[in-house]
Amino acid sequence: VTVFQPDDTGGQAPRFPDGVVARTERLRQESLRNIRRLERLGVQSRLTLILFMAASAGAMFHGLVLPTFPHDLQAHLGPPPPLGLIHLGLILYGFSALVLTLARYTKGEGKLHGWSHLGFLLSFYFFYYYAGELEGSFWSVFSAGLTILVLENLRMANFCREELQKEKQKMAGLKDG
Amino acid sequence: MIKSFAVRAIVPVALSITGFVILGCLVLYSFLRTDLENFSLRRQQELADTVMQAAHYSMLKGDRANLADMVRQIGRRQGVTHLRIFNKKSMTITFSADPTEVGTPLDRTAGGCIQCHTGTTPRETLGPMEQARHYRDKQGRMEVGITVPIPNRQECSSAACHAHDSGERVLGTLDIGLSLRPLEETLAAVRIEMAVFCLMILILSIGGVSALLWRNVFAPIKELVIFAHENTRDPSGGDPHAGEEDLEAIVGSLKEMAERCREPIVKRNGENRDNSGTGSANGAAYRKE
Repeated sequence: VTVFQPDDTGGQAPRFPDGVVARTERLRQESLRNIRRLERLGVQSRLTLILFMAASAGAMFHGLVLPTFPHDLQAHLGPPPPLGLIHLGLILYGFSALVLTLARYTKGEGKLHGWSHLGFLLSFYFFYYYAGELEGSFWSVFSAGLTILVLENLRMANFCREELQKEKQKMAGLKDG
Repeated sequence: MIKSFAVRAIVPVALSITGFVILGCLVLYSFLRTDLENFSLRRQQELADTVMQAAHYSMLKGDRANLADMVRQIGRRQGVTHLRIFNKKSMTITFSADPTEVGTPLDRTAGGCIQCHTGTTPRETLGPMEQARHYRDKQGRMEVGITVPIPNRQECSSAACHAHDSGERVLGTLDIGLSLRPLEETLAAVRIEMAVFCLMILILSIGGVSALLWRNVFAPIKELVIFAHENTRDPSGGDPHAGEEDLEAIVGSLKEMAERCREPIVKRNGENRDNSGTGSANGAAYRKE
């Protein structure tokens, strides 16, 4: 560790050795990078929720937005999975996603999982659409998605706020010398 | 952003419970609705089969008056919205509960016909679910229509009265429409019951979790914060957490810390008072305390 040694400049601003200045600058840049990364994480987290809401609006008015599923493609893909199985999948997914998100919330984990949740939820919308039951099961997927993504957003917002606070304190410490 | 400790702890738990209870209720309702619809459909198919069996003898005997009367009587039953028998040969409605429909031509693109008449060769058999179609009537009420083909049985083609060609597989169709109003009323009642039940679970679980957290975590922490503030001013304050081991330890540490911090000040104050000739007894008493 380089020790600060004030030189005899006779009342002028203290001059730091080059090594200290470089290290401080490096730490400052690192903090700035972290702050930008945390801000990006926050934006991405909110973006998953916005995209889910947009997809849900599309699913709600699927009769207007989406064309009827082509018979040729349906014949090629085969019959849809039984409705009970899709319901069961949704319940299992909802339960495990909530438990995992709460566990991550408790641990203070900072990894964003919103994109994978968005993928799962859109898949459920697709399965219900393919089975011709999107109208009847829309609210199930919507309530599951809204709960999981709001909780995920809350977790990320808390994580980003705490980390940003730490980075700002670090920056303030560097500024004070 | 939420900064309160209590709110930050309760909101995720409340949100998870609320979301999962609502999801569970919605999925359970979907299961119930599918089961009730299937049950209702099976009952309606049984009714269609019963009508078919009842009509068979009259058709075999060529008793048109009896058949027409039977169709009218069944069509008057509550919940039956329409009942028709199509004749394949004449391509018209031969018998109907609505007398104005008799003799009108058959529209192959209509709801009940399209299932068989999609390709170039009409289908002769349909699965139980394919026989049913859901639609809304002119008043916007949901109905289910069941179309059952009337097969050319051996006794039909070999009968002396009006023998059909044995090569004909289907002689016509029976189309019966039934109101789904009773089912919709049952489902509406289930929805209300489920919503009330869901609300009760939410109040109980979120209220219970919040009350337990408040009583066992937030209230002691709040008391601890107040105690820490007051202790900086008056270290003689009482112990707010008697009986709670962890918090008693924190209170003890806080008291000890406050006393250690205060000691030099009290000593200094005592020395000042000694110098001025007053307050030495007070200082000694405070240290003793």
